[in-house]
Amino acid sequence: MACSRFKGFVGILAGSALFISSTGAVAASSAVPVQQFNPWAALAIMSGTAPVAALCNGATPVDPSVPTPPGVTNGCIMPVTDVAPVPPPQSAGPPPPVPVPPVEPAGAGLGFDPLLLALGAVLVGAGIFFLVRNKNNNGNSAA
Amino acid sequence: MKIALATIAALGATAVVLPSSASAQTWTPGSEIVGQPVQVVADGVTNTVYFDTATSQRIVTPNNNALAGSWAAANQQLCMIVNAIQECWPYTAPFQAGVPVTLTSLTSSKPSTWTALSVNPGAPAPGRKGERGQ
Repeated sequence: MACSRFKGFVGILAGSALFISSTGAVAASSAVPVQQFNPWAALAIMSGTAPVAALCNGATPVDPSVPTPPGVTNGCIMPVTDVAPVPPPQSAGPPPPVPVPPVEPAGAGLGFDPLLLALGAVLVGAGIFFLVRNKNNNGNSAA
Repeated sequence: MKIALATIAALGATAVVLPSSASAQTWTPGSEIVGQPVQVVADGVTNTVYFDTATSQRIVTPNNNALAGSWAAANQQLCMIVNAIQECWPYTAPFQAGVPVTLTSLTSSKPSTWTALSVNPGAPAPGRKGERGQ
């Protein structure tokens, strides 16, 4: 009798755990921070040693007469371009509209993965089935 | 008589040659652009290079962002160093204000047009035409 109750409890516990874990996982994955790049950081990277060959169209240093200072690599500097265009200064006027986050459909409002939901339902059903069956078996054996 | 004529001719020739050679010797490469802006157009992009001091410069982008670096003028070359990258151009004659010259990079073989927006007074006019005279 105690064993059958324990099995039923385990089944319900497993089903509940699936519900809770799926909700938590979806909630955790939905809060992805938006990456913002500093254009000057990108510019500094672009001015680094690695992409020099690409910026210089693959040209190699052709001036061996002048020694390069230590730590300096012959490469291409000009032209220096802006990585990201700087937005024009805000003039007097209405502020730009704030983008509204997309509204999730009603079915997915709780963040449930339908597949996990179905799996949880199956497990809960199985747990209830075993609970009822064990109760019946216990009732039959007692009689 | 012949000796006197030869002496006068020699003195005259010396008087003609000396001023020009003296002025050529007075030009210190880079002196005319220290503290002055030079507009550089390469690949259709216009940058303004400010040679702030004899060794430091700033490259200003079309959107007025500045990239600091160093520069040097020696061995008939003008070299700029930014972020440990050096690029050099031939530099055989002083810049003149408002006069565009086309320089081909010695490092990347990329042509660019340099125009000194202003120069320091006293800079001698270019005595000979090199690549900049093209």
